[in-house]
Parts: sequence; C-alpha cells; structure tokens
Amino acid sequence: MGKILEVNHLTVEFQTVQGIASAVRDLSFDINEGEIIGIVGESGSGKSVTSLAVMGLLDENTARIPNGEILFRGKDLLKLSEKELCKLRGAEITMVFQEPAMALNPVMRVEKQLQEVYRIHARSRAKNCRGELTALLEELRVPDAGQVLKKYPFELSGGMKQRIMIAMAMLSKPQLMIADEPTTALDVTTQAEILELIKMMQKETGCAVILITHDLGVIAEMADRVLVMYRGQLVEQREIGEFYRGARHPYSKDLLRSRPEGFDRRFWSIPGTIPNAYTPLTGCGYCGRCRQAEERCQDTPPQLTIFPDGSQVRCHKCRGGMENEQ
Amino acid sequence: MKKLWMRLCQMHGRKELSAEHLSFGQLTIKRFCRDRWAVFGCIVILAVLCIVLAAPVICEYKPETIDKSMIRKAPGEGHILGTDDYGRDVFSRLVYGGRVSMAVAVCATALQLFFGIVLGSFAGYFGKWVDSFIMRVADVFMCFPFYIIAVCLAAILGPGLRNTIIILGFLGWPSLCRMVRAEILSIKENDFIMAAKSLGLSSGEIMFRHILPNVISPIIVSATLSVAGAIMSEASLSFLNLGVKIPQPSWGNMLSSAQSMNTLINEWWRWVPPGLCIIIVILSINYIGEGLRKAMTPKAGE
Repeated sequence: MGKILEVNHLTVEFQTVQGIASAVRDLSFDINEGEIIGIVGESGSGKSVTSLAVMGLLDENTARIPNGEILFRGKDLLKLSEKELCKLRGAEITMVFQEPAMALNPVMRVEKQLQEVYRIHARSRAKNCRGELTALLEELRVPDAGQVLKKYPFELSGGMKQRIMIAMAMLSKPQLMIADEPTTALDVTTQAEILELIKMMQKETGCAVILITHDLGVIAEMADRVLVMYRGQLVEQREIGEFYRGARHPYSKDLLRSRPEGFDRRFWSIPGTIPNAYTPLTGCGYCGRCRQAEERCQDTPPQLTIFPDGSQVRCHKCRGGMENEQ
Repeated sequence: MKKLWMRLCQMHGRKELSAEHLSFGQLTIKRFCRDRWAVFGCIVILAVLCIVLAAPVICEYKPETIDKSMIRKAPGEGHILGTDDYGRDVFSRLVYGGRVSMAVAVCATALQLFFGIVLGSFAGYFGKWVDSFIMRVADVFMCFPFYIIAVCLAAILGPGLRNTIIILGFLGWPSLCRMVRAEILSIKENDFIMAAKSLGLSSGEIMFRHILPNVISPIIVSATLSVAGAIMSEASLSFLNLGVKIPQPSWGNMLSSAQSMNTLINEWWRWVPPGLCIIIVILSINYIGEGLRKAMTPKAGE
C-alpha cells in the first residue's frame, strides 16, 4: 500500500488585526491508499484548517503557510499553480462539507450541480449522464432519485442534501476524500446512515478518507487510525483499536472520558477551555488543563515520541514507549 | 390576481400548482400576482408599451408635421389632444415621445447594468487592489452633482437622443456597481462557493455559474427602479433643453415647450398629458419594482 498523502511539518498561520494566530503547528501525518483516518479534537484545534490547507482552499488574504509540504502522490500541493490545483480538486481530491444546507447552491437544481463535476472533469456530455446520476443516487439510497434530481436544494432534507454532497464527491471516483464533520449538522438517526454510506462508497471505490469530527463514536465506527489534535499540534496518533483500549496522551484520555456513557453517570467534561490561537505555545499545549501536568510541562515543549507499533504521542510522561499510568 | 394565477396554472397544464413543485421563478410569479399594485403597474406598462410600439398605426399625423392652419387648437375634431405652437398634433407627439422616453430609459438602464454588473463583479470577486480601484472610481462618480455633470456632458457631447442615453448610463452605474459588489461579497462567503472551489471550478466559472445567479434578484429589482429614474432624468434633461432635441418629441421637451405662463393657464392640453404620462409610468414601474422585491425575497410572506 503506497502513501497517498503525506503532510510534513505543516504550519498554518492567520494574519489578523489582533496579531498572528497559529492554527496548525508543525503537523505531520500520512495516509495510505484506501485507508480511513479520523482527526479528532475540540473546536479550535486546527482540524478544519488542516483539511482546507490540503484542498488549497485557505483564504489567501489572511492565511500563510510559512513551512511544510503537502505531498499528494509525491506532488507538493503547496507548489502547484491554481490551475493545476483546479484539475486535482474535485477529480482526485474531493471534500464533503459540514453543512449540507450551506454547501449547495440554492438557485441551482441538484442535477445541474451534479453535472458540473462531469462537465469539468469527466468531459462527457452532460445530457448523457442522467442515467448514471440516477443510479448513483439510488445507490446512496435516495428515494425517487429521478425526481430529486429536478429539485432545488431547499426542497430537500438535510440528510438528502448530504447524500447529494457525497454523490458529488464520489462522482469523479477520487483517490482521497476529505469529510469535514459530515454528520454534525444532521440528526442522530440520519448520522448513522450517512456514515454507513460513506463507508460503503469508500469500500467500493477504494479511496482514502480523512474524516474530521469531534465525535469519538463516529471515529470508532469508521476509522482505521486516529489522529488527535490539540492547539494545532498532533498529540497522539494510533491505530483505532489500540486507541480505545489504551490512549496514552492525557488529552486523548480526557476526550475518551468525556463521552456520554450510560444513563447513570453524570456527563464529565474537561475543565477549562482551549486557549485561543494567539497565545504563544511555550511548553506542552495541554498543560493548562492536564490533570497530570508537572513543572517541566510548563516550559519544555514535549517531542513527538514514536513507539515501536508506529503510534505517536506528544507527552513528557510517556516517552520512549514507557507508559505512565496513574 | 387570482385569475391571472389560475391562467398561469392552466398554461402549465395543471389544475393548481402546489408550492412544492414550483421553481423559484414560478414562486416569484405567484407571489408577484398577489400584489395588486404590482399587477396594476404591469398592466399599465404593458398597455403603454403596446400603444407606443403601435404608434404608426394609431397616430393620424406625423409628430413633426407642421400645420400652420392649426396652431394651438384645443382638443377636438381631428386632433384628440389639440395642437401646439407649430400646429403639430399633441397626441402623436405624446405617443412618439413615449417611444423616445421608453427607449432612453431602457437603453440607459442597460448601459448602467452593463457597467454596474461587470465592474461590481470584478470588485467583489477579486477584491484587493481591483476592488479599491473600482470603488474609488465609483466614489468619484457618486460625488459628482448629477445635474451639473449632466449639463456639462450635454454641452460637450451636444444634446440628442444618443447622448442622453450615454449621459444617463455613464452617470448612473456606481450605485448598481456598489450593490452588486456588496451582494457578491456576502455570497462569496457562503460554503457553497467553497464547495464549488473544492469541485475544481475556476474563478470564472464560479463567478458566472454560482455567484451571479444568486445576485440576479436584487439586480432585477434595482434595474426596474432605475428605469423609472432614467425616465425621470430624461424628462428633466429634456426639460432643460439638454436632452432630446426639439423636433423629435419626448415627454420632457413637450413639457419644456409648454413653459410660458400663457400656455400653462390657457392650453392645458399641452402639459397635462405628458406630465400625467410621466407620473403614471414612473409610479407603475416603481410598483413593479417594489412587487418584484417583495416577491423575490422569500422571507417577506409565504
């Protein structure tokens, strides 16, 4: 299995009136062909910015990428021209957005929006693709697909719109799909269905998926590997089963602990909030909220430790493969 | 208005269209038809357009034909609305004048739309220095006192139909340009634009296929209102003898030629008809514009 995407030392900053906000700090990860990785972390940990950086969709006016590279099949996406990126986007790398209601053009019929993918990338006659579109939608369990194609987005339910988005992302048979919180805007019953569909499409086309979410349940169901991000840094990276059996980083542990579980237990949440992106990072990013923080966590930034099984953890307390359970 | 709606439904071969199956356009028409005043305006404008277009058939006399034996005749035999100083038939001048007024209004608006949309989209979409440059130019244009510049331009270019259109088009675009820019700026921030980018569409395609169709309704509304403004401005310019030149009739210069106290007191037929026409047409267009605005904003009712 070859690596399809390799992100090396990616740093993203935003130039704003209040100063420089660091959204992603020295992030490295890779994804193999046909793999699903999940990126978790609370709001403001840099998940979405990472995905936008991969797509090349960051706002050029404010965002800067001072260093790092994003290699897609060996090509550095950051060095490609806008034109070359346009050819890649939507064809080989596609994206499913968080709010299906916002991500479809309100004044265009569904069919026309789907046809655009053909028009741009497949170069086949838009007229001939109707059958194919209907088939794809039926596969995505859209009832009455022929009728749905003729509708405007506002006439469809959230789940239906998200199916259309998935269809749009899958139409060109991409090699990498980024799903940025694809189920956050949907109600719970639809969520499971949408996830199932994403998984099904992934199996069918064999594309790699980056699933961004703050829902650990979603990750457990879908991903092969999980990346935990905090304050723009990768704090832990681990195979999914291992992660649930024994997360090493205190933040991962806290995240796992703050899942709703059963009815008898009070809902637990991590005390404090994530510091804003303007705050300079001196020691460990998590030390302000960590229950195991020591003095050295305040001023010495922990390095990412690679364990023999390939997992990575950024914590002073679990270095050199030595776990430090409390 | 209900009748009109029923007719529309029949045209589509259905008994009654339910809201679910309506496209945006159909919904707009449905809401528009509920607004009495807007429909009234529509009917008036259509009637005026028909009359004006059928001018050669309706009018017995040519608007420029001088008849020295029939000077300043009151309405009556032969001349429905009487004659003016030179014995020209007021009715045919009114009808042909309407042609001129309408043509000026439509052409000037088209010109404004062209400049406004093109420059506004460039400013809104590309931002940065393109935006600053275009908006500063627009600011400069908006600072010009309209009549003084119009008078100067008319003096330089000379009065006449074509130049009136140019003046109105040239001075009227900034407000439209600003509106288009503002709309584009707000639509550009939507997720679906980012989604379109993520599909690999180029800036041009995003501009024309995704952004402009979303801006169309405010543009239509504002264009309607600007037609009314252009008729008004043409009338004012012609009234000042800076617009359409005299043998050619226009509502403005008909009023202008009826300025003397004697005419105002004794020859009502020379100034009441063109004045009334201007009022009715502008009111109707404004009603249509207002109706369209309401119909195209889904939040306002329904």
